[in-house]
Amino acid sequence: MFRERGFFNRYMLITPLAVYLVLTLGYPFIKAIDISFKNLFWGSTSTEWVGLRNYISLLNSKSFWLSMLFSFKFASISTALEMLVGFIIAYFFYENFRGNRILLTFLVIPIMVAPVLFGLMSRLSLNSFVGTIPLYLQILGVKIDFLSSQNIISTLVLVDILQWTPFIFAIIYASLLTVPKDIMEASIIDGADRFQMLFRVIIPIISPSILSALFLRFIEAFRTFDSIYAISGGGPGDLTTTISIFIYKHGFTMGMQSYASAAGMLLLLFVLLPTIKLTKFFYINY
Amino acid sequence: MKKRKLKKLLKVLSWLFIILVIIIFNFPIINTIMTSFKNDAQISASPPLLIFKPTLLNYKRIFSSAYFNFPSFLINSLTIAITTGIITVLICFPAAYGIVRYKIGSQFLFPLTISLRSLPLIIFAVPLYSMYRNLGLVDTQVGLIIIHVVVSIPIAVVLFVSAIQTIPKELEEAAQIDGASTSQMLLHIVFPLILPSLFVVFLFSFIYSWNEFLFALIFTIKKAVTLTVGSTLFITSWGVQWGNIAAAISLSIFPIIIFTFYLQKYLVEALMAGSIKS
Repeated sequence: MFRERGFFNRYMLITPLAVYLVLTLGYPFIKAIDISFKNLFWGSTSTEWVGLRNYISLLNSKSFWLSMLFSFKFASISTALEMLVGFIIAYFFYENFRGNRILLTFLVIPIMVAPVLFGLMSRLSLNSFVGTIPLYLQILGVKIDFLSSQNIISTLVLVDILQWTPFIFAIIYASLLTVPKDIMEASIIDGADRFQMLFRVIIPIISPSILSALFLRFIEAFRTFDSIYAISGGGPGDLTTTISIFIYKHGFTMGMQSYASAAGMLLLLFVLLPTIKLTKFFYINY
Repeated sequence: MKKRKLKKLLKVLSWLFIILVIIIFNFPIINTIMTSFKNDAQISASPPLLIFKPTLLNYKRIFSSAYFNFPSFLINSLTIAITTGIITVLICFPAAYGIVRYKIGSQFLFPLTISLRSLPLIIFAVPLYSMYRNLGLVDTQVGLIIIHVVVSIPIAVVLFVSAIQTIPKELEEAAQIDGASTSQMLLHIVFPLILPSLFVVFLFSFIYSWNEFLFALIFTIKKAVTLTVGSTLFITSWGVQWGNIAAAISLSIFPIIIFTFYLQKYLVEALMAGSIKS
C-alpha cells in the first residue's frame, strides 16, 4: 500500500464525496422519514408527530394501490417486450453488422435523449391533429386515436419501447461481443447447429447481462415519470398515474407533503427489498 | 452462382431491415426535426409532407417570443449542466483514487455509492424542497446543480474506479521512490493518463443534467427554468404550438446527438457500470 507523503492524507481524498453525500442525501433522507410521521401540508403549521397515520391511510388508499399496480403492469409489459425485441436486434446486429460503429450510434440515440423530450416528440408524432402517424394511417383507412383513454396505455408502452429497446440492445450486444470465439468454434466442431449454439451456448454465457438488463430496466420503468407526464400527465384522471406521478401530484400539486413523503418511504421499501435479495442472488450465483 | 446471388440478396435485406429499425426507433426524433422546419400550414397538411420547403420560422419565433424566454432556458440548462459536470469530476476523481489506491471507503462508501443508483430519487424531493425554501435555493441554478451532482456521482465513481484500476501501480510506485508526494502523484501521473475518462464522466454528468426533468420541474418557477421544463410550456391551455415546440426540442437534443457520436465507445461500459460489479 502507498504511504502518504506531503500535505494530503488519504482521508482528504474521500472527504469531499462523503461530506457532499451526507449533506445532500443523508440529511434529507432523515428529514423525509421525519416528515412522513408528521402531518405537514401547504398552509399547515403543526409539526407534531402523528405516528403511522399517513402510512395507514396510504395502505388503505385505493389510488395508492392503483398507482403501484399501474407502475408494475407498465414496467412488466414494457420490459418484457423490450427484452424480446432488444435481444432479437442485438443478435441480428451481432451476426450481420458487428463492429459497425455508425449504425450502432444511430441505434443508440433514443436512450441519450431526455425522456421527457422523447415523450413530447412522441406526442407530436401521434396526436390526432398534426401527428404524422395517425395522418398516414388515415390514408390507409385506419383511424386510431393514440391518445384516447382507450389507447393511452398502449401508446405509453409503445413510446417506452421506442426509447428503451436500444438500451437492452446495447447491453446484450456488448455482452455478445465478450463471448469467446473458441467456445463457439468448439461447439461447431462438436456439431451444434445455429439454434443449439444460440440456446445452449451463447445464452447461458451472457445470462448475467440479460438478467442485469432486465433488472435495471424494470426498476427504471417502475419509476417512470418524465415521459408519461409529458404525454398524458398521469391522466385522464388516475388512469396512467405511476407511483412517481402519484407522489409528485400529492406532494407538489396538492401540497400534502407528509402524505407524499410516506408514500415515498413505502416505495423505497418496495424497491429495496427485492433489490437486496437480487443482489445477494447475484453474488452467490455469479 | 446461385449461392452468391442469394447471399447478396440477404445482405441487401439485412441492410434494409436495420435501417428500418433505426428509422422506427428514431421516428419521434426524425419527425420532430422535420416539423421544426415546417411552417404552420405545412404542419397541418394532410397527408403529412415528406418533401417540403424548409423554413427557419419556428426557430426565429422561439428566440423572439414574448411569452417564453427560450434563451434563458438555454443558458440555464447550459450553466447547470456544465457546472454539474465540473463539480462531479472534482468530487469523484479524488474519491475514486482513494478507493483504488488507498482502499479508503472501499467497504462502506463505495457500495453505498453504487446502491444509490437504485434509489427512487423522488423521495428526496419533499425534504429538499422545504430545505431549499429555508435556504432560498428555490428557482436557482445552484439548487438544481446540487441535486444533479448527487445523481451523477454513482456513475462517475464507478467509471473513475475502473479507469484508475487500469493504470499500473508501478508508475506511481516509481514516482514515490523518486520522492513524489500524493498530490504530485495525482496531478502529474494519474491525471494525464485518465484524461479521456475525465471527459467521459464530465459528458455523462452533463447529459444527465441536461436531460433532467423531475427536479427541474419541482424546483424552478421562472428564473431557473431549464430546456426540459421550458419545452413543456409550449403546451398551453389554449393550444399546442407545434412548430415552436418542435424547434425548441430539436435545439435541445442537438448537442446530445453530437455527444452520442463521441461517446459511443464508452457508452456500453457506462451502461454495464450499473449492472456488473467491478
